[in-house]
Amino acid sequence: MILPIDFDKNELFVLGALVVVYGLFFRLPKRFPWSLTILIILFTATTARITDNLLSTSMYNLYDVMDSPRYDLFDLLVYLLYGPFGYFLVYYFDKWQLKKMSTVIYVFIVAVFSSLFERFSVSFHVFKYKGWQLSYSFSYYLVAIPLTLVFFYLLRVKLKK
Amino acid sequence: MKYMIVVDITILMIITFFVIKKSLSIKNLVFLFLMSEFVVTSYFSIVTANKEFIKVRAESQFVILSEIFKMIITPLLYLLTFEFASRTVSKWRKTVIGVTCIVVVYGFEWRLVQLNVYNYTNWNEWKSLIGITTNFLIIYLSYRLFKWVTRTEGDNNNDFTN
Repeated sequence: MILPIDFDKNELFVLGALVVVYGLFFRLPKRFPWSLTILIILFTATTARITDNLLSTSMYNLYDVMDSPRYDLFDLLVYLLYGPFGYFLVYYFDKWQLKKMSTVIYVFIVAVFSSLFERFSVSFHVFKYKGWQLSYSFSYYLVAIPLTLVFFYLLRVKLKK
Repeated sequence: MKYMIVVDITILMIITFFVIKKSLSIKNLVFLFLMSEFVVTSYFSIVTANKEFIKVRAESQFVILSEIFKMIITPLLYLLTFEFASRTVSKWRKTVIGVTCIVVVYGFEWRLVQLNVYNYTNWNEWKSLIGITTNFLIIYLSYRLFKWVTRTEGDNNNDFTN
């Protein structure tokens, strides 16, 4: 695992965001068993990892994560950062008992929020687009968010049996 | 034709995984699959993109074969290994199953080298074996931690860690 080329604003952004996001994560009242929480976080991080692996390092080099196309320590920390976002997503989905149209609105709002957060990350050079656009990310979130909700739903149904 | 064999084996592995009766619980299987995906794709990014020890030929069919190997074959082999290990209580048999898994994963990689999908630069089979073993141990140790968490919640699924 290589270290970043320069320790500058994108690394500071990731470290700051990790503190904020995990601070919120531990302050929220516990809602699910730890095993389910771990699986949700791992699912979110792995989905992001697979997506980056397919879109940023292989056939298509559409964007870089952090300083270079290489996989450095802060790339790994970015995946740790993604994890709690999946948790917050299912946490409020479950808390507010969303169904039908309210789920559609929820997915749309979270996709908008995720795109805005990504735009904010881009301004700190966490992502460098090379052919990628924010509108693609929005479409991606419209798929990834329901996928996470379906994963949570199926897993909970299985675990309840 | 010779490249399609890798695809055919992959399809057969997926079918095998879904038809066999599983002794591991769904949350253990999900954890192992996700963890394997994360660890294996990270490992390949390090040895290919970072260090360029293993170069994948640029043509799309070779890149696809490489992606199939790292994103489907290897995680599925790890998953099947933990599944088969969960069916025995003997530590000796569990070790044999684990070692067999490492050899089979390397066997696939060796075949891809033979097919010129992968080209080694300052790299050899022993380093690959060490890499595969390290990945396996990382997944195994993280699984032990996860098992510890699930045990505190009352789950006592028999597997490698027992």
